[in-house]
Amino acid sequence: MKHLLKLTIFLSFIFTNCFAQELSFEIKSSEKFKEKFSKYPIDIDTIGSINNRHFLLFKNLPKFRNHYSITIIDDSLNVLNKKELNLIQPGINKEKKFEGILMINQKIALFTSFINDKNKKHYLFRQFINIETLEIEPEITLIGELDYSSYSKFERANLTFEVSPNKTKIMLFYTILNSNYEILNSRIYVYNNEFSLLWKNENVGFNYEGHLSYEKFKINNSGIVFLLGKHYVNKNDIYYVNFDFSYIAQFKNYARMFPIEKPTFNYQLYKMEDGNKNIDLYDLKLEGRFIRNLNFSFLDDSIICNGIYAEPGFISTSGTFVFKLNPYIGNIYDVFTQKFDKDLISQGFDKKELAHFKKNTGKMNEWDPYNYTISELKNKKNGEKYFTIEQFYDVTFSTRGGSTTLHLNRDIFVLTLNTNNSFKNVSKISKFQFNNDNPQLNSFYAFEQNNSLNFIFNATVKDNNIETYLVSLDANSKQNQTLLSEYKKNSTMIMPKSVIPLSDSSIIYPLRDLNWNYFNFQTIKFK
Amino acid sequence: MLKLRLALSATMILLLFTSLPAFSQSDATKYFDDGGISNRKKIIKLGFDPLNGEKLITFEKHIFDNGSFEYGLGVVDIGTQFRLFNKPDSERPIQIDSTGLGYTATIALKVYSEGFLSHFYICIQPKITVMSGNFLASFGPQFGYQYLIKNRVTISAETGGSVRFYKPYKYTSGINSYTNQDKNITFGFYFPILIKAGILF
Repeated sequence: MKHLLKLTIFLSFIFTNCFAQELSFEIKSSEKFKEKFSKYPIDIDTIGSINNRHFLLFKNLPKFRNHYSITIIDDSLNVLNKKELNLIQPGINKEKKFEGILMINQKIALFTSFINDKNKKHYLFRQFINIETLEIEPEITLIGELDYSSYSKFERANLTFEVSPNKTKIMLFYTILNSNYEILNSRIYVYNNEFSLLWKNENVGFNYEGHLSYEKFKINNSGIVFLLGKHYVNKNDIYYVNFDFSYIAQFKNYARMFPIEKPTFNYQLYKMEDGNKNIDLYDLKLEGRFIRNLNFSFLDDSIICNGIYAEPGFISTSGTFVFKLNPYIGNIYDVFTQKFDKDLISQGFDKKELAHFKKNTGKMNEWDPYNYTISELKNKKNGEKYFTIEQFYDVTFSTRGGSTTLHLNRDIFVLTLNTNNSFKNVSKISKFQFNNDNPQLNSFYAFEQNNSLNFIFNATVKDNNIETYLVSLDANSKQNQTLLSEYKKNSTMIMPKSVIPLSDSSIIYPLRDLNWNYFNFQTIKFK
Repeated sequence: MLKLRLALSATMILLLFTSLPAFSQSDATKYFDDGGISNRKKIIKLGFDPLNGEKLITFEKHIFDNGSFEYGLGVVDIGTQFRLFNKPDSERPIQIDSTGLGYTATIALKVYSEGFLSHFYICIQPKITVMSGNFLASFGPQFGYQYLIKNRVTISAETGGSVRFYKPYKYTSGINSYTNQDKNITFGFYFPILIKAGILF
């Protein structure tokens, strides 16, 4: 396994350098700094940008501590302001719970909540944050409340918010859960970008039998809310694969059997809109194919779905698809599919692991136990579109001190579409990433520059070290790989989920070291 | 066209009435008035260790995000300790009488798995015990589970392993034939099993 990994990295390096075109870009780095609460794991979210001022949220991972701070940087990577959010309600001395932060209409809205155990209510508030001083404005607005007096098993509340593509509508899905994360009661609020309530549904109920896994909420420019769900007749329908993580030093003693979903679920899209108390349900099915993973986005007046499929009754990926869905009557049309060559998806598992997986499924044609993240369809400047598919597997181990989750991310598949949404080509970018309890360094960021698609990511290399690469995919799908940084003690690595795109197609991104001791920012500007 | 205008007017009127109110700080007070429940960060508990014959009263105070300190004072039944540790075949018996009452004091740093008062916790608990005029010091990790009832009453159970340092009797010969001439400190293992009930305030 280890040798195969080395060989793959070596060959891909040789290959890409043989066909390399000269990439011309400039990297600028800020000074390293220590974050106040950096002795605990920190994640960084991008809030947004106003007039070349970029707002980032530093937050301790919830498992450890609950501290949140906002940092403003400019295009030159200067830190203009930095402030920790004080969630104590002034004058009352009660601590609110952080629920989220949203930049809309050049304002920053802060969502917080408070559990009032006397009234048996969960209150949801919105405040604005001053974009200069980063102080929380004193005016506080109640934007939602949920009564849990009739639910003896109330454990927590959860807020999900989404913004429409043209940023004129905001959806809040506000729900209370029991300790098994089962929904007890839910509400949907839809606001305009001035936070005036447009419509609400105070008793959201999805009508299904079995189990529904909520995958993604989205709201379109007309204020119609869609929920993509994975419907299971039986949630416990799973295969097992016996992963041997012996090639990962920390996990060599933790070989276990891990679950893989059986191909017995199907994707559903629920539609909720103002004035319609019923929730419309569309089954997303392709004739003769099993939809393995799917994402959706809005295109003009329709919904466009993209993803990967397997053969019916199988879980292993065998191709990709794009289709349109009429959001009013739910019919599927303009279906395009592209079969994957069998050698396109390299499994990355050894023979024993795959043999166990095949035996467990009872099907010798099964060969792909990965999960997949499907990106939304994105427009290229030349009118073409593209989307990405990333292989991953997250495994939670029981350890002596509790549990730890290994995040394993593998190859990226890049699907380019013609202007009519038919497939133009498929490319694969090989990578290997793993981290335990630390997914912020995994995955990648994709951006377009000079008619090329660029992918920036960290890669786990020999002795569990990390290197950062920029891979450029030109219009003819030729790859050019550049090593941006090699691991050295205390060196910082890109956090690819926290990238800020700039107007000239360059990017700014935060970096951190492996121990959360140091952070800094970098920018890549193409010449 | 008329219908569209009517619909737009209706929407505008609806918007005026459905926008949720904003409050100044003082107006928001009613939403935060929970009778002080969320400010309850202290617990007084009564504890009982049936295995070691200990009865404790403890005071726990929230210190940081998911951590707290718990201070405790209590009494120990020396007879129970004698039966447990000074058995006829004990190699390092404790210098204690066979009956009587001892005293104990503890201070524990507790870390909860999620926020303060969430169910699971681990703690490091140094402890000093005085029995029959002799000091015993113990130290070790423990883990426990705490359940909160009606935001007021806590029930918890914790156990773990501790190393206890003490001066042992020096064994001479025969059953229970000891002298207390050994001045070297030795150690033994000690397993507390504590059940506690408390009031949150």
